[in-house]
Amino acid sequence: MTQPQAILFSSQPATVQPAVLAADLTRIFGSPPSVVHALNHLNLSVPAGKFICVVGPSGSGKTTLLNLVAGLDRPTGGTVMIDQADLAIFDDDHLARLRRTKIGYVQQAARLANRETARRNVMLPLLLGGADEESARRRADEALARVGLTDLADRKPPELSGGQVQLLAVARAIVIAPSILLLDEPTSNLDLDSSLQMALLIDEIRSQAGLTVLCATHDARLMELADSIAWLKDGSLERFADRRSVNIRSDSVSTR
Amino acid sequence: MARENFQISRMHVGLAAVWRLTWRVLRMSAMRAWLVGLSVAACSALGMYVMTAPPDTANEAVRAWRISLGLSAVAALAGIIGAMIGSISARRTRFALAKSLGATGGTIFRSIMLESACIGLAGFAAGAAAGLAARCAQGLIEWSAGMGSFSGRIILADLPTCLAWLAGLSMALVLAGAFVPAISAARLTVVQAAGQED
Repeated sequence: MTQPQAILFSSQPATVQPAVLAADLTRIFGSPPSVVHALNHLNLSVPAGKFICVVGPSGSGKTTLLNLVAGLDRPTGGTVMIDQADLAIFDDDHLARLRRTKIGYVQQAARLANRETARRNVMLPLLLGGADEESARRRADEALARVGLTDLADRKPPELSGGQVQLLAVARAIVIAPSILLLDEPTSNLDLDSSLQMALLIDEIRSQAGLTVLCATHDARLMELADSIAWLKDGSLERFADRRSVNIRSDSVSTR
Repeated sequence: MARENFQISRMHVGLAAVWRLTWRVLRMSAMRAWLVGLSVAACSALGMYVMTAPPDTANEAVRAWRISLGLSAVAALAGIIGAMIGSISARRTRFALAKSLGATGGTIFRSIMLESACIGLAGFAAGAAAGLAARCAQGLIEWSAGMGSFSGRIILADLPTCLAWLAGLSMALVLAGAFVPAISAARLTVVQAAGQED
């Protein structure tokens, strides 16, 4: 197995165990002659409790990487390890259990049950995990309070604004008390104020719970909060740098 | 002549509207559930009607009814499979959501089978009631026409056996019809179900 490039780039001591480790990760879609290499021998290590932003142009493999880390998809080659456990040995039911207990995932297009209330949407992962209705409701209300949606708990997603829908998706991701939070462009569809609110919320959640965060984004405000930034290009890790060594502007990111 | 043409064109417009409405209805997932229920109900109604036939019914007639029942069961099974495939295809996004939140393939499989069983049970109940009502109505007509007593026109002694047999047939039809579509839904990956991005 090749040495993950991100470990080489990272300033973390060798003793820090990665919460997420992608080694030689490859994902190919389609079959010859129309083959798409979404990820191409990608290596990335995310130390526990750290906030890593993944940046790169559209099609660079950010969403594919998050889907593989969440166990929603299987790699064509290489491995994904979560807390030292190789996801390849997990069957689909184990992966589902992992998503219910350890990984909170906010997808770019927040997939919500539009016929259910906001509260019920947040309760869903708990109910799928076998929690009773009463405790699921209590925990859902706590998560909604944390993102500031208590007053809108009885509304359905179509009755909420874009920003509120994203906050609801975050509430649903954190209700299971995950140790890893995956965010796929959480501010991409939000206005300036909502983006700022979302960035502050993510920072607050992360610092309170000591979460490991892997966030695909183009948003400079989120990059400012990160510990490190990983650049993807054509499915490979182009560069991995400490955020303090990076000059972040709203329209571009460059190395100092 | 002009009046006739006008009437034909109105009929075409009306038929087109009915077709559009039917198509829209068929595309709705809830209506597929109705289709499954009605297939089972038709089978169950026919079964009840055949099984409660009076003892003096000619053997050829009973045989013909039984063949009809077998054919309707096959047609119902085909209808159920088609409706379930359509229903599951229309709900791929919902399954993707459930899977991304931690639902296992087994959870999805069980929920589809349970949903089918409930629809089948409702279809069986409605069909059996309709079949029995049809047989009673025929018995009443024949009795009023002086063809023996009302109770002699219907066999009700074996009703529990008849109901159990029809319930079994209905359940077997819906569960067999839903099995393969439910397996395919359970095996869908989230990426397959929701489409790939980036």
